[in-house]
Amino acid sequence: MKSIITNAVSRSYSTRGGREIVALEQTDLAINAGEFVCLIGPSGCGKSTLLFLMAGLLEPSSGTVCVGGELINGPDPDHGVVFQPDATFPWMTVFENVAFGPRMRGLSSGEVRDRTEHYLKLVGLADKGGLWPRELSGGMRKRVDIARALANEPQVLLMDEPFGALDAMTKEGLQDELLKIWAGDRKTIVFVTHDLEEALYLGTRIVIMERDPNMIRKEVVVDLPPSREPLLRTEPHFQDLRRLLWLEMAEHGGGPGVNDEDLRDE
Amino acid sequence: MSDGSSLRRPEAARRDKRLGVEFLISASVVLLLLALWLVLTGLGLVRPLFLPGPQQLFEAWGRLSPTIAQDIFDSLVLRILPGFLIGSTVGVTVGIAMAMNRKAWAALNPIIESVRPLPPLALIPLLILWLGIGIGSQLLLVAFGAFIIMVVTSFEAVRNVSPIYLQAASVLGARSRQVFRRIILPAVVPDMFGGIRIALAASFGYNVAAELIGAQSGLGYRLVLARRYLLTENIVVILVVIAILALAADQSVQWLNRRFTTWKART
Repeated sequence: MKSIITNAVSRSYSTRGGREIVALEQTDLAINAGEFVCLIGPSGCGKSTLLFLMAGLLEPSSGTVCVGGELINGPDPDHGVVFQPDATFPWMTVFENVAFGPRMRGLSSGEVRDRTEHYLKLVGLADKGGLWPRELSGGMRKRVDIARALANEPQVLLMDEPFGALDAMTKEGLQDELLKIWAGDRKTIVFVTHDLEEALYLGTRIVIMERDPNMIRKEVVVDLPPSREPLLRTEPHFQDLRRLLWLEMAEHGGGPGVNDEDLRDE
Repeated sequence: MSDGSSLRRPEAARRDKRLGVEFLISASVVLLLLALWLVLTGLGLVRPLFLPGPQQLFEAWGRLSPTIAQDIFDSLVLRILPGFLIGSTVGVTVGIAMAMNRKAWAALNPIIESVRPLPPLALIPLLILWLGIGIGSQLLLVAFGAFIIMVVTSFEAVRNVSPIYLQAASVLGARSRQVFRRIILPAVVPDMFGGIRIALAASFGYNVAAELIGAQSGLGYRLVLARRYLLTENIVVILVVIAILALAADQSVQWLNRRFTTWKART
């Protein structure tokens, strides 16, 4: 698995009015191979920008991003991404969606089929391969998104508020499945969220970002047992950590739980 | 199974009842208009020159039927379909090229933007001067009309492909060729069919205009002749024929659309 290192990375862009907006400023972050890091922070703090820079979907204005010791200069099928909006291709069946990455990598049709079936099974959609995405619920489509990212067997998984649009029950179910998948092969995962509880439940480390300037404010190592059960959420130590994070964020404008659009560019 | 149907049955029954009422309303309006037409023409309340009755329409059909197959062929197969196909093929190609490539856009946009506001019918005098009265200028008029519609439709369709799909494809390892073939092309199909329906309907219109001006055959030509000899009943029969053809063409496009976009939810 690969490490991720950002070195004084900044990203800015100019608005139509010619104003310069700094989406991310001079950010250093080192993520070890196999870590599950959650990025949290108020809306517009640049957490999605940071993730998109790691994914190679945005270019840094200055500074560098290295994944596995190599400089990022564009998207890489070895670095899977799961987006917040539903990104399943509606004109492909569920099977074809998951098979897309392996096909693009030129695997033989037998390998494509085996892999696709394996990952469909992993996310519990083994019998749904022939359906169109529109025939699935939002939660199931998100599973397709995840299976599609996994089917490329990436070393790094970058997730941008992937469960942000789902209802609480579906969300918790998917969190447990994601943890199970991560326990399987310990991919390096970076997970953007604005949900404190989600960050605590999933992450081994939480990186808190702030606005104006948009940069990392604090890091918290989550000293919870590595195998997490749903009831963990109700335990005193979990709640203590939650309070700590909440205070940390409430102190710095925006505050947690604000569910408006994050700052994103094209 | 029994659960599902028992849940669905009252819902379906209510829908059937609503559809039944709607059908009754539609049918009564049509029947009422037909009755009005029969009364007005049967009692001689309107002059046949303005509104011919069923008897005159029947006679008109007798006069027109010997040549109708040839006229339909000349309009549909010689002018409408080839004009539409040439115009929309070029339009789709140019529209996609402009949306995909900034240099193509820079080169073509001034041309497209300067001819787009022109009503195609305003080009008729120029087309006649260039190509004379004949199949060339007629085809070009139909093709131009379809071209303009499809350039705009396909340009907008490509530009409207959600960036999330392009990003998802590129992080999964697709190269730009593959993104084009497997993401952009399928994504624009529904919008394209919308444009094709409009362009095909417009092709029927431009063809009539082309034939009104100078043609020796075709449905539009028959309309001119009928007006010249004050044969209103011939005009009505030809209009009905054109309506049926245009409807059939539109239905064919819609059928193709359903076949190509089974993935899309329909309400």
